Amino acid sequence: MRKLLTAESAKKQDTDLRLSSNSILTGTKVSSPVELERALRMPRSKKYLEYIKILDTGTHHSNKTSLQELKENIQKELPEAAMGLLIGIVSKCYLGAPYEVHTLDFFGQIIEHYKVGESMKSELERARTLAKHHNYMCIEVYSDRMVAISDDGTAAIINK
Amino acid sequence: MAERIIQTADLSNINRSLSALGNSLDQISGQIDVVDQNLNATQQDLVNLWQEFRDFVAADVRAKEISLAETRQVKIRQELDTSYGHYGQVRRIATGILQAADIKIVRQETMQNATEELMLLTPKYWLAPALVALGAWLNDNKDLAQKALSEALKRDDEKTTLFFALVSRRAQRLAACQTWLDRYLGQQDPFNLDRQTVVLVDALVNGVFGASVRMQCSSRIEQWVTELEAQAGFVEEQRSQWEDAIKTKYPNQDFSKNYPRLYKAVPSSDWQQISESLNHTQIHSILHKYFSDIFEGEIKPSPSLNDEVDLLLDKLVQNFDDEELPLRQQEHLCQLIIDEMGDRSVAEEKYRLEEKTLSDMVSFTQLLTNAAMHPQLSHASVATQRYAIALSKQWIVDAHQDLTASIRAEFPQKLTLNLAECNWTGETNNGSNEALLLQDLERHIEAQKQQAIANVKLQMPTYIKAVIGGALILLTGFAVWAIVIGAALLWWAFMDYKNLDNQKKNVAQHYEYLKEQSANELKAILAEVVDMRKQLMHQDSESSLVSDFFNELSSKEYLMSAHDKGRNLMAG
Repeated sequence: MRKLLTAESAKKQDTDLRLSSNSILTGTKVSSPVELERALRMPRSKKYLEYIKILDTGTHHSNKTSLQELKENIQKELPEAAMGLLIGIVSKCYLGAPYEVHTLDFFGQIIEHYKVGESMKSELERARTLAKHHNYMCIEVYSDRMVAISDDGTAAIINK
Repeated sequence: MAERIIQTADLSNINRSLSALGNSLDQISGQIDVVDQNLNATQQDLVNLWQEFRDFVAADVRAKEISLAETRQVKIRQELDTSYGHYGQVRRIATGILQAADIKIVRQETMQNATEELMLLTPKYWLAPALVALGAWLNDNKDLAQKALSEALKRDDEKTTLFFALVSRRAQRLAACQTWLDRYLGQQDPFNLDRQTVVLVDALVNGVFGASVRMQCSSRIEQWVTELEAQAGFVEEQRSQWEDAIKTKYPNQDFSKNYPRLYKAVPSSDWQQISESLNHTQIHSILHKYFSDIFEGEIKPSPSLNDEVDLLLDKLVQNFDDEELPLRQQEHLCQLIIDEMGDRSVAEEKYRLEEKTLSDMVSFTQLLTNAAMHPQLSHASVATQRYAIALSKQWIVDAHQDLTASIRAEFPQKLTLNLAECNWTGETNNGSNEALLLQDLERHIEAQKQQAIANVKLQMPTYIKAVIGGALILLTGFAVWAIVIGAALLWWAFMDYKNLDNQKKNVAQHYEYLKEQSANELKAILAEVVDMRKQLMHQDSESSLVSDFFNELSSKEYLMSAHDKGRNLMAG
């Protein structure tokens, strides 16, 4: 029996990339746009997902040092080349009504909670619909694309 | 005495006249209300008429597009028939010769004459010398066979090579088959393959080749994929290729009949977003059904190897001649316009996405995508579809994941609702703010009502009547005639004043009716918003069907039947 050309080769390549995802994602430099896209597609680590979960809570709302620490931790989990393009992260807000989503603004260095109908910064507003969708834990908003992160860390890219 | 009689007679006449006048005013006031209501109704009718007119124009344009496409398609087919119809005879003879040779009922001379005649009938066509070579080979005429073969190879090397690889396989000449295939594969560049390579893949996955040839082809295909993968951006290109391929399956359903009130109430930009989301989210169930159908059941191979090869030969000679391609592309665009019920822009977008299926040169992975998603256009068998899908599984999953996120990002959020009858505008997301909207609508109409009631007041002519009446009586020193006329004018002014209440009552009634009607209309619209959201969420949730399907696919193995009694396994 002989395996005809199988999907394994394609799968293997992808698995290899995923296995090495930590090295790609943890702040390693990527040079080309293709590499950047590949790095952004890597599943997010458990640590990263934990950091996103605690955006709603903790002392980083009031304590700038704590916020800075959280931000740095998140940055460490993302490819370094993407940092210049990252505008912010939008995710569902669990504070309850009337709050709907919250944002971690990488320019403004703040976490903000938004009520239903309340306008967000225009660059982040486009992620609102996706952020509210139950399938996604958060949406990373870059200047040229959005990356929707599912609860299991998998990423889907929506180009501008 | 005479004076008293005149007074009595005049006053009663005037009283009657004034009373009649008062009644007439009541009637006029009532009629004005009716006119007001009619005006509102007319405005609504005008809005409806405008909508119907637009629908009519759109339907007319579509009907004309369909008619134009049908006419054009007939012309293209005629042109194909005129320019390339004579190829048909040559094509039919290809398998005819082989089958005749199988049962040995045609004389060698007849076969030779028939093929040589084709050479004269179809100059420049590769198949004619190929058939002369085939005939000469069957008749053991080596010189002629070599001459004809060399001409066929000059006219179209790749098709001739593949043709003879299949013919050799049919004749059980495995070594010759391998040589021809070697030659064919050696000519191929995985970045720029001829479309007919799908015939080779078909032969491979349908088990037409013997074990050693199959291994040789498989390893060559593996090399192709390795070469392609080494190219920067390969994975990304696959994803985008598959996204385009999936988008060709988007439906173009008109949902205005499902949600007629919502369609009328929201601005066209909102409706477009709703319609697109409803159509695009259907892609999940469409894809699931499409892939499930492909993988359902066992593929039964043709009873004999000869039949299987004949099918492939027919396919090769009939569908891949590049000179016909421009006309075939135009014919396909016409077909898409007809399929899309005359919606030219949707048809052109689908054509843009499917264009690669009808390209003369494609990459190997594009060939797989075409085979998987457009088997009729790319002439792929179900077995090839399965193979292509299994091989492209991860790219399909990724493309579907990205596309799903893009579709979700475009979901309609805040919907603006307009009620033209009462000039009211409100916003809703999912209809959950019904109570607030109803309150707002009532407040809005109540304000209109109060405004309309406030507008019902004594007009200037009434004041003039009262002033003239009073002045006549006072300035003429209470002369009898002046008292009569003055009193009449004052009475008239009083009747105007008295009529105000009736007018206000009618206005109030009209607005109460409007409140009730508008509230019912709003409730109906919101009910449609809720239904629309439910449908959208349901269709969106079906995205998991596709991912689940591919998760299960990874654990399966596809058993391929083979004519060499061996069994091929293809893992997904």
